[in-house]
Amino acid sequence: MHVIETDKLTKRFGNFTAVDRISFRVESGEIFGFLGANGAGKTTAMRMLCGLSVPTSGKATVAGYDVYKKSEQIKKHIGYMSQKFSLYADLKVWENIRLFGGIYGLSEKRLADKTDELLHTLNLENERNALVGSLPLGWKQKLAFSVAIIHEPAIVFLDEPTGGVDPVTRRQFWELIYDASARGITVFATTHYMDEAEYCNRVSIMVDGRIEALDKPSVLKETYHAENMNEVFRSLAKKATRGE
Amino acid sequence: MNPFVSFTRKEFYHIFRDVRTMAILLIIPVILIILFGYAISTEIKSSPLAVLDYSRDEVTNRLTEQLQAGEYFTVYRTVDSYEEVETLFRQGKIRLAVVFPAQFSSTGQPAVQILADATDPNEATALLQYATAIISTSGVAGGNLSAEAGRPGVVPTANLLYNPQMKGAYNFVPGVMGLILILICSMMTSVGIVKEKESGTMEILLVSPLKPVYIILAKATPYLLLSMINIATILLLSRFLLDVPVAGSMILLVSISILYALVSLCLGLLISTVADTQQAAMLISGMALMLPVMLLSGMIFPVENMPWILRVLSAIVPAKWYIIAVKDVMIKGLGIEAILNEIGVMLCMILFLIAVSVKRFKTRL
Repeated sequence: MHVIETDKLTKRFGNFTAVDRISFRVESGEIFGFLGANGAGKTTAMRMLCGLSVPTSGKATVAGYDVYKKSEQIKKHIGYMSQKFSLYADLKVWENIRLFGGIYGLSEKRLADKTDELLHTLNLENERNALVGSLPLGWKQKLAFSVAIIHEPAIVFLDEPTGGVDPVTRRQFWELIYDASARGITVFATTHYMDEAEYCNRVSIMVDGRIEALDKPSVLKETYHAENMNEVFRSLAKKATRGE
Repeated sequence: MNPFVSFTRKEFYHIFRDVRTMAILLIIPVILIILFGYAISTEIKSSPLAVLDYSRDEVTNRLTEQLQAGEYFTVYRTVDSYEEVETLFRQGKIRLAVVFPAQFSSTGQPAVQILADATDPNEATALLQYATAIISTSGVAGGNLSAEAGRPGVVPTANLLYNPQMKGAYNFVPGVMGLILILICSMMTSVGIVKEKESGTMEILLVSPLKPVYIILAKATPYLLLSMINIATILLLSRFLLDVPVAGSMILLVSISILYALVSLCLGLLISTVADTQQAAMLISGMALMLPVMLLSGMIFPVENMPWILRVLSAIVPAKWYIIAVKDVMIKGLGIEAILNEIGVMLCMILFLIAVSVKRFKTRL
């Protein structure tokens, strides 16, 4: 089953075509890297898939629900974490967990279990009552990711989740992503870091609103005769005519 | 767990954690009441007065005593020349001077000259009125002056119905209520919503199953509660500190306060759809809401005396309608039938603001 399926999905703002007829499929449990330079249309595409923005034309389903008609259903089955840090700094760690658990309608019992489990996995048991604002950025990002999948969504959207985080923490963050993927949660992530692109099962590269390449990192490197994903990305991004 | 309850609880955390802001919000009404009640008083009390008496007879002595006797004036000094009066005015020792000419009571047409330091025109007008009233109603002058002047004619008797002591509190207490509710409900709500936009949490909320209308309601609930606490503070202070009791129905007063708070919340919501940063939200609510409330609501300056364009503008200031309604209920003790007009206007404002905000909120997504 395909968790995400799009067919010529397009978004225009006036004369500007931000996303130009993109068609792709994401398998269940896959880690899908969604790459592109700034302004290539990644965020707009992601917003359409999350039900935040209505497409101009084309078709798309997320978790089996149509993005035009069933955006409320989509919202129940996805998790989302943005590049901006997205927990409440003036709330304690457990209060943040309980808030988002509550928003997604988890039962009191399930929420209590989930909170303990999550704090244990993240090694944050001693920080249970700490204000989130007082945690180091890397911890916050890991906590934000865990909270984003607290309701075991079919798919989690990550919008540059590791921005500004040191390499060690980034590595730990990706371990959390692998865990989630192993549990069957599909991961759809945009990133700026090309080494992270190598961690993905498949990546797509957007240039000027279109998907220029989509395959396994190893296949892409072969096709473009590149040493690493960075070179693949650069050779594709050269074609861009759009400014930032 | 109920999503709405979780979210509302979070809003309370935000407010309680920010101790400084909460303290300010709770203390503001107290400060305003004290400021308006004691510092920015428009009432006249013990204004220093000089008497220049060229006549020095029994009648003028009694008049001087009459002026001194009331609570409005104290005779600062009895002087002997205009030069002295001028010096006292210049030094700021007196606000008013009364001049009795020579042979005051024996002339056919006795006249009194009153000089005022009119640098503050409102105060001067009030002082002149009080002094004139004291002199013309005092038995001495009344019998003597008007009878001998040969025009006993009409003597108007003014009777101040709802505010016999001419207390400023009767005017500013409703004004302060109007100001506080706008401040808390509009400014704090808009800042609260814009803060979520700024920090990126709004995005998370919008992709969650939580309906936008719940987000807004949850944001508004704590501030509505806080503003009601403030209304209670103001009413208690005005009852026990300023001696302004609530003449009419308490339930009606609270109901119109909630209605006005809802108008303010809708205004705050509208601002939050326009502003992108907390500073912008602050500035817009400060400039576009606070100033009109202070200047155009009739709280400080009477709307009736304004040029027509300002009078028209004042009609779209919600506080104006609220203050009229509060005065009717609180001071005059009138019932709901007297303020149907004001209630109607505020209801229309709510409908209009919700329609516009919802439209803007949607297009933003």
